[in-house]
Amino acid sequence: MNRKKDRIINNFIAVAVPVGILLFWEIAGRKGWINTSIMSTPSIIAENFLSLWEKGTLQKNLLISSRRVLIGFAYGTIAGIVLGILMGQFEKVNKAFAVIVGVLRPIPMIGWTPLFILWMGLGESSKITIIAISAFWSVLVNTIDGIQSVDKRYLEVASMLEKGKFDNIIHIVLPTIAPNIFTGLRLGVSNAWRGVVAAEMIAATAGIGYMISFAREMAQPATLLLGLVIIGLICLVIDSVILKLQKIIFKWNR
Amino acid sequence: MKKKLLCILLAAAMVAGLTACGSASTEKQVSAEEEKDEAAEDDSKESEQTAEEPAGSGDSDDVDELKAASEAEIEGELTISVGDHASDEFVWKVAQAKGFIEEEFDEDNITFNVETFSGGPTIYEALAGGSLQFGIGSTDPIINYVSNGIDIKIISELEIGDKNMLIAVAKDSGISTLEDLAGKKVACSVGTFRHNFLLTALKTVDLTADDFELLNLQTNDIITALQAGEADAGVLSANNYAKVSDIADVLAYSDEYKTNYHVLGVDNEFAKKYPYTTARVIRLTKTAIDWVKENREEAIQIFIDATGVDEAAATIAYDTLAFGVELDTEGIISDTSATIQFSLDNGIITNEFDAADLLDDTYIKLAGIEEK
Repeated sequence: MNRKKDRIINNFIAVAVPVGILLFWEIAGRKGWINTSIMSTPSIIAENFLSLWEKGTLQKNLLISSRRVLIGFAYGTIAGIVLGILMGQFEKVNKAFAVIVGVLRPIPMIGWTPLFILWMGLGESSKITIIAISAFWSVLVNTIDGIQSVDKRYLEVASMLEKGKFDNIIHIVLPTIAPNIFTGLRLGVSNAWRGVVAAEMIAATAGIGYMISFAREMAQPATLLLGLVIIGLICLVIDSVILKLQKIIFKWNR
Repeated sequence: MKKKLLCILLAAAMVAGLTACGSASTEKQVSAEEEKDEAAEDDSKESEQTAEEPAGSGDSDDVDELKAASEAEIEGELTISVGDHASDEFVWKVAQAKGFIEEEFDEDNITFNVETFSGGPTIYEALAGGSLQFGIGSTDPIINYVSNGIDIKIISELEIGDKNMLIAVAKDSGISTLEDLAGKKVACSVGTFRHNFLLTALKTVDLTADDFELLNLQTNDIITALQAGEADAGVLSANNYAKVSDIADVLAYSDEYKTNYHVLGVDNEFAKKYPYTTARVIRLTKTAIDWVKENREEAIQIFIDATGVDEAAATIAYDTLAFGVELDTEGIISDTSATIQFSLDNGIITNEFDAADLLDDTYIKLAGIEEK
């Protein structure tokens, strides 16, 4: 009974706090406590959402960005898992790439974006590369971390049973690091969206990032804020879905 | 209980953060509303004052009177920040290089800063946020911000473009008419005179923004895009066209479609609070612009030193501008009326307003400068 009561209260807080903030924001705008010319209220943003949805602009930009994120995220994830396993499993590979990873990883993607556009042009390849790299780092780091947390006793037993490296990876390493990979995916998805916004803000003809930068130049704060809110909501939904999948697939890991 | 308390504290912190986001402009908006209530009274007082003051010929007595009035209206220290273009405009670059700013303000409690931006939209973005008091450039970004409720006034001109904006098309793009732009990639800075010129030109051949792919890029990126073959066309100033003239032809000049007024814009709340100081800023721009007109070679060199462009580009930048701060009120109202209507028709802005409300000639009169 107590647990049910706690769940109800927790769910209420989870909804009440964001709604309370939105209400306060709306009231602050209507009372003139905040300047709505530069910070639109939730109702203005909602109106803007409906207007752009009716015109089809929002769907078009969302689809284009989502497509880029999907492709870039897939490339980044595969590369992150493969290199992560290699670096985690093989010390020489780890030594070879450790310094490079250590130097490149902290560099923010927004710094790389103009260079990639210079090297690869304004087309899709530069944007997808930026997104892939944005997703890559978190998947890589979590994969390496997962491998390093594999219980050595399992590997010793496998060794005694004369199992090869490949068998170790498939039957011991991958199942162990799978939860870490999922954590990397969750982080990678939000990084991928950050990457697409950065790439589209600098050079694109469509997409959510383009819509945000267009709105900025045209002094349309409502559209600018709408773009940011949409990205946040998309990442929240995807994160929740991955978390749910993780709970279902890895019941044994609880 | 602790978790609930933590939730509430976190929510309160987020709310405080949200309120702080608007707080810099909250005071501006609240005091702007108070100012509106007093506006009628202020306007009548100013018109009385203007009638009493000498017409203003720019002689030293008038300048001294203006300076005295400006000093009287300032309490303590005052910081004035103006926005300048990184790769365009002569006025602030010359004012800095020739020491006109120090001559005008050094003996006062006024700190005068010139901040550099990539273009008009970012200048007026900073003005809207309270970081600047004055901006320069075309009227288009001002129209966009005023339409969204930001209180900006045009108070003087700086120059008028004379074939200084154009549509450049890649030689291998197969584009020889405006109609050929349909389906092509056109690079342009959104929210600027260039953007409006492009759409206005295309409207004459029944094309709209939906008929081509718009690449929203700053000037240097437009040049790169044309050089790399990533764009079929680009909207550039004439001095920047010089960098791509070997690979691109001119399709159209802006003069055929719109007048390119470069103006001085001001945060209206600041101007109402410091009318005489605002007039002094206009006098400062007049000093710089008059000097630019009379010292072509040196002005071009100052432009080269400030922007890093070559002599050919700087010379074109100078020769395609007709300098003068006198306000062409009728011309600007007519041009901005057309721009406002065009922007409304194309969904660029949603809130209509009267172009006449955009101009305020109070301060140029206080500065003793005649209208055109």
